[in-house]
Amino acid sequence: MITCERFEKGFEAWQSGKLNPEEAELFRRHVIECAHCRVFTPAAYRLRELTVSLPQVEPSPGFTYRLSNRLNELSTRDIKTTRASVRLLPRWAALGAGLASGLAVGLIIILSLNSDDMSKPGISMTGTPVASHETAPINLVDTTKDIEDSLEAAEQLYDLDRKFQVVSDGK
Amino acid sequence: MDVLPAKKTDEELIHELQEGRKEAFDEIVDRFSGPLNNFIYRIVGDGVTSQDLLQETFIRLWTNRHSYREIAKFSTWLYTVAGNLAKSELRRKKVRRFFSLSVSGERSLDGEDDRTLELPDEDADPEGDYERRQILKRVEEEVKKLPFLFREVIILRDLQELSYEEISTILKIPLGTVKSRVNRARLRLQIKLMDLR
Repeated sequence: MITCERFEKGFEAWQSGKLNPEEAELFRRHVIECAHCRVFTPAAYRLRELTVSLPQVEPSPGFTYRLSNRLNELSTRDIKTTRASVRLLPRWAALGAGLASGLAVGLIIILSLNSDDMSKPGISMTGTPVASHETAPINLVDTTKDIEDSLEAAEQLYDLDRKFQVVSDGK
Repeated sequence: MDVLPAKKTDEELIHELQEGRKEAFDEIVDRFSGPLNNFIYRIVGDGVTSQDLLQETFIRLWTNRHSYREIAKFSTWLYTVAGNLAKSELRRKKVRRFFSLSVSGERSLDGEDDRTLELPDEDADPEGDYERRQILKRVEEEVKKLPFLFREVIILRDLQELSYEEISTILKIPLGTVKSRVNRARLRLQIKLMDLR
């Protein structure tokens, strides 16, 4: 069995009886079995010979150099992009830290309020009456100030990072 | 006696490239820039655009080098990339021409520049070569005038000499369709070039 490609290539040799009998038989069988090659005539062969011999259009001599420059440009840009994504980290870190500290302070307030409720006279966990003056007063004003301070610190950190980024981007 | 080292297969080269050997990329460029440029040029019909697209093909190879899997031949993969870029370019050209007010009469119906492609000048043998060059020029013109569907299969089969199987993979069409398109394209060319006989 031969392929259509082999048939097209060896067509002329087959037609002019240059093939050995075994090969010629393979060609004869192929043309019977393959509808595509059945219409491959001597004229089609000559045309194919012409198209195959059309000159190859090569790229200009500086092509490789230009390609190499372009690839260098691209890899430089890749490095810059990677750096930019690394610079983004502190901003998110600052935001995360701000949120985390806010949550922590909130949790402390809730827990303190709960413990304040628990330490009221008559509702001690141990059953022993607890005098209200024994409970350490919770300074709500200070706690709120703490929250504000930490949020402000986070915001400042965020602003600072943003300014740094603007400066480093050269805008 | 020195024995020349065996030429690496395309698949070996891309494998080396995937492993980070930059020289393998240079070798691939060296091996494929001629045939691919020829292929793209025959599709888009313009030397500057074909080199831009060739460059883009190799850039895509570089950036997507790790996504190549050995399920298809490497050359087929590369031809597919180049062919897709060339087709997109033709589509863009069509859109540009549609919106352009300066459509000139020198362009053919299928959207290509109709100016003839200059064959490289070969010195020596004035008469015989001249006649042959004229014939080839005619063939080239007629190939260029073929409708796109026929032109691309003729370029791949009769100019680039790819197998029917490879063409079927590149164009994502059944093998039977490739063969029938090739036959119809050849028949059209034979009719157009009848006077050459």
